[in-house]
Amino acid sequence: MSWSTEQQNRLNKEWEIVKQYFPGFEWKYYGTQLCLEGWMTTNQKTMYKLRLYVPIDMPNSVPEVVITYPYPITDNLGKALTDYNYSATMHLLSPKDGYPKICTYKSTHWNPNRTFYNVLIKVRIWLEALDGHKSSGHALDYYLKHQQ
Amino acid sequence: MPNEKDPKKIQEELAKKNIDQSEKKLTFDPTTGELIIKSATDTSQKPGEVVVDQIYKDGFFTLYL
Repeated sequence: MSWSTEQQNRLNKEWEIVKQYFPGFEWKYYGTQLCLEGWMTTNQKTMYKLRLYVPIDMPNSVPEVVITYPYPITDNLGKALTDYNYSATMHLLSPKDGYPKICTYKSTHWNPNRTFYNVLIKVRIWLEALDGHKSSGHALDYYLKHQQ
Repeated sequence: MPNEKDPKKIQEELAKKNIDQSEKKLTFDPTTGELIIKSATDTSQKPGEVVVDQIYKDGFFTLYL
């Protein structure tokens, strides 16, 4: 994958912000696919590993984000989140590469001014809601607003 | 009001925010990775800490097919 100069500059800026707010993240290549990978720990001290796929047309598309650890990651009843496929109430999209994919931004709500930081903060909040779901049994949309 | 980091309190507050029944603010501390609930009038902030209410209020994509 070769990035334009503009994209490379943008990636550098994104990196400056990500390493400030999510210092555990690092760049990884899977074949030609550039990703940001790292750990987040919820307030309940549950650790999750995330992978953010950098779109080839970045910053014009929503980056996809999956949970790669725990594997499999399950709901409160032990059902794998990938078995939901997509779910409005759990804010999940169809799995990617065998991992559950988190709903963050609707494509119509994305614009190039949004950053990986915005996406990762949503992911962080989503994970806190998942911990809530595991304790209470409420679906994630009990905790998370649907994007209008 | 003390800052609130207790997971149950955070989860309760998210649920309240979801139905617009919270006036507290949600912040993120990058040094600990924790979410923190604070009073709306609490202006104290650790270095690097950010208010993330607007990102929360933006909502989460929902796919209906």
